[in-house]
Amino acid sequence: MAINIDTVYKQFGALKVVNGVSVDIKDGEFFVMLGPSGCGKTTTLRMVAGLELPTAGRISIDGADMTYAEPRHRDIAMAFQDYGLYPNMTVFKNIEFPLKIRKLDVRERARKVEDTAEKLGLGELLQRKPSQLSGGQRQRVSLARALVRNPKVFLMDEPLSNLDAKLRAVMRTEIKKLVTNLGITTIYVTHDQIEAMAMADRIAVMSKGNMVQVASPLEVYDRPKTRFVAEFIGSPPMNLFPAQIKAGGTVTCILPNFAHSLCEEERAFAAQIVDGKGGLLLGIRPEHLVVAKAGAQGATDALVELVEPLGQTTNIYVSVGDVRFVIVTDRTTAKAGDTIGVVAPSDLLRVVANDDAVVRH
Amino acid sequence: MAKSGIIGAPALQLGATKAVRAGEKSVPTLLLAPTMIIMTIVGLYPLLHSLYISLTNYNPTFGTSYAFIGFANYARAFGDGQFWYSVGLTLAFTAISVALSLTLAVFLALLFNQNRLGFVVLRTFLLIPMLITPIAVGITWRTMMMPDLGVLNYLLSLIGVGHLSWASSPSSALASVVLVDVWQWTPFMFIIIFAGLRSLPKSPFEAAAIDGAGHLATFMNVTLPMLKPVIVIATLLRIVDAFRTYDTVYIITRGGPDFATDLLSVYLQRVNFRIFDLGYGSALSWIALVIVLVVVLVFVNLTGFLKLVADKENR
Amino acid sequence: MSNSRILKSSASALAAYALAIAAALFFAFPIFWMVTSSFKSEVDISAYPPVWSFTPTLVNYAQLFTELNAWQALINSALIVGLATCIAMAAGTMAAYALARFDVKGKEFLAFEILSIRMLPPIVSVIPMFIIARQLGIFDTPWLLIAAYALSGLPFVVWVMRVFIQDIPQSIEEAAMIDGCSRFETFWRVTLPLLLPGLAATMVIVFMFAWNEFLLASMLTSQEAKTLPVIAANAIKPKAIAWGLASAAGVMMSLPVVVLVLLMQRYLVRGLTLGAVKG
Repeated sequence: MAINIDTVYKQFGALKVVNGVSVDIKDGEFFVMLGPSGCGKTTTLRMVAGLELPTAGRISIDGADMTYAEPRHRDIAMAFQDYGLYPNMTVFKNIEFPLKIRKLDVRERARKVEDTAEKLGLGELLQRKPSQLSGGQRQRVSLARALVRNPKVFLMDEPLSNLDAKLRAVMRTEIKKLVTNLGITTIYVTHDQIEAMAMADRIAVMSKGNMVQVASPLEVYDRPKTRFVAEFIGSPPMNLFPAQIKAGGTVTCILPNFAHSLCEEERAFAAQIVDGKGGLLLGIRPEHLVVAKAGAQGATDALVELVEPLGQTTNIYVSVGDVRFVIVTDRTTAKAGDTIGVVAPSDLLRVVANDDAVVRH
Repeated sequence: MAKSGIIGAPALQLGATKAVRAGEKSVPTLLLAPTMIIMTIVGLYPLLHSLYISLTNYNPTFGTSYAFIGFANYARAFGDGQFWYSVGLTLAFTAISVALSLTLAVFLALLFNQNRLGFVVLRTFLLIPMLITPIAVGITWRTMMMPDLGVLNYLLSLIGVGHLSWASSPSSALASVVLVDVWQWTPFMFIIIFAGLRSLPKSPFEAAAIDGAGHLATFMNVTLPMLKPVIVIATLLRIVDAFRTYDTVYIITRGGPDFATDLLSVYLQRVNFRIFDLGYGSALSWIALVIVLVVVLVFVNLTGFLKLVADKENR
Repeated sequence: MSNSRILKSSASALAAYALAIAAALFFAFPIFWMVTSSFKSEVDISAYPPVWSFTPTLVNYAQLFTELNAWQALINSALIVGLATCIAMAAGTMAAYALARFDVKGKEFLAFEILSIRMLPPIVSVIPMFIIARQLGIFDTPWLLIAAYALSGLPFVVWVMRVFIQDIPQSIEEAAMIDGCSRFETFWRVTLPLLLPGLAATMVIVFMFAWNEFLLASMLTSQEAKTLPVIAANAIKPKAIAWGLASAAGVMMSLPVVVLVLLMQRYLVRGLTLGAVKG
């Protein structure tokens, strides 16, 4: 079911948590809200769930206005960070609970619970209590409890953040597969950019109560609109340099060899950026920088400050005068103190707006 | 499109208007209402009524009429030597008794914190005194402390200690009721401090051991500071209760002999329910209430109690 | 070296046991004395030196009912304390839920206001209650004490239950609301079952304080509504003290509390410190 969030605000006393968020989530979409803690992502999710009421704005699910509906009337399911399992009930009873509340026939209930448990590999654990389960198993129970009633919308509030890294990766793919197969519209909240990149159909990057950019994972990665997005996504983050637009649509920065000519699309975007006061930035992903010999044609000579060999890749931290940035490359023989040449391919440089420098139309 | 909802389940109604959800705002008020009503009728109203009576010369033994006499009762109270003697005695009783049971409780908590065989059983004995009805405690100790027939003097004579007069002599009566109070309420402080000790993290102790701290140094620098919140709470509750001690003293000495144990609550009871000088008694009660508040406030400020509670809230 | 260490550790074990046993004796002996006295005949109880072995008799317990009218007092105590505890539990738990789960304006102030009742010496409110009760004609009826005990139990219930409720993750209640429960159903079907141990423990403590209370009971009753502590105190007349009878009364009124509390030991510390210290 499609979800429309229309200029929703939420204030707790004087504290503005959500600042006029608007987004249309399509039927069957896996939509991820990504951002640091306190950015308003969880509050937005809880307003969709009906656990919080918006201060202003409208939320509709499948075309019906649900802004002030009680959670139980929204036909949604939710998975919580701390799982929210009923500690006094067995796994079976936990999964059965939403069906019991809806007064479904006992045999029908048992059948659905067993089906769902089977699907999630919980068949053996039905008689256990939550306290006898591992974190991963608990999260699976909470997913089963959500899925057993075949809801319109599935909301997930950092469901994997209490699990260890390895299990998180496993559960990530499992959840994605499950939800995609069932075709349920899902809103997923996380602060983990890898989770967001791996799972989302679309990502909304949130900061200070605003959705800064809403786009597909690769779009967000390749063409971050603002400094916040550029630095939040990608590790190490995108290199950014203060820039100006020269006549003829060339963007230059403090490093003369890092220059980029605007294409048609970028021109329109650059026009929205407040120019002149450091509003415009030139950015390049560390892995797009190419290492060359010092003094090579078109290369900028840089001093190597630190080399981090990570195995698969290597991070080289370099400086040119006062300007510091990072290069990600394959293995290298460069070491601290060396001078290397750095080439920034013009077509991989991006125009990025400094935060709060985008003119809204 | 995925078929939504549970087949066969009755459709849930959409009772969803802004007004209905806004009605939820009155839920906490409704939930708080019974408590507030009880507090107002049974708590606040009598308190204010008492303030009013304290400004009159009400005494039911002289009939139902009475006159408004302003602050005369309070003026009289300031010249009432017996009252201020009782106040001083109560403060001394509270201070000595609380200090003794606190010291004893900390010592016992440290002792029983060693995991030795049988300590769990012995610990249970330390719990029971606080559960015994204070009247029963008074009766039992009064029996045991009888100078001529009591079992305590008998036991003392076995180890060659002479005849003590316990509560029947003015010089030892206060010490005797302090002993009873310590006996009954040390368990209260003990179980709280013991629980606090048990819940302390291990690593600071290990760090202290590695740093070469001895038993005493560890206790003073590690154990005590970490136990402070627990000790403060236990002590505050104990001070409030010790200040109003009545039952055991009423049974054992009734304030005597020669007013040696004439605690505030005993004195007030005499003014109110022997002489029925209720106007004056109310004034004295109010002064007592103010004294309790001052003691509590001083204690709270000295120990940062509110901050401790606030920290707990924000954990 | 290792020999002296063993010696040292067994010496400290010995000292620890000696101190622990001494402490246990100190705290247990008066209870032992009360219980044995209650089974002694009049001759045994006034014997000097005290007798340690004697033929137990139930005569004191029988006298409780024949001379002190203990049945009436027992019924009064059970009725008054039981009702007061129920009222305090119901009202206090509701308030605690509001304070724990809702944004109430001036919440902290309210909580401290409720706590301040705990600080109030009963001697202050006993006079107005005495006067008001006389005017309303409810002096020496159970109602007065029920109200007084419900009030004094309230701060305990509100503070302790608030902590117990806060211990239940809010996400459990939210999950229930999303699973299809209304707020009331959520409390009834999900929160309440989880609160039961806490409720029981709090109830025992409120019960204990009301059951043991003497000051108010002695001044607000005269004949009809006397509770157990009051009749026990009546066994002590200035001249002739019935020690066996008084001890029997002490045992009878202490027993229910001791049994109940020992059953609920796990939560006792939490309750006694108004939720501030975890047991």
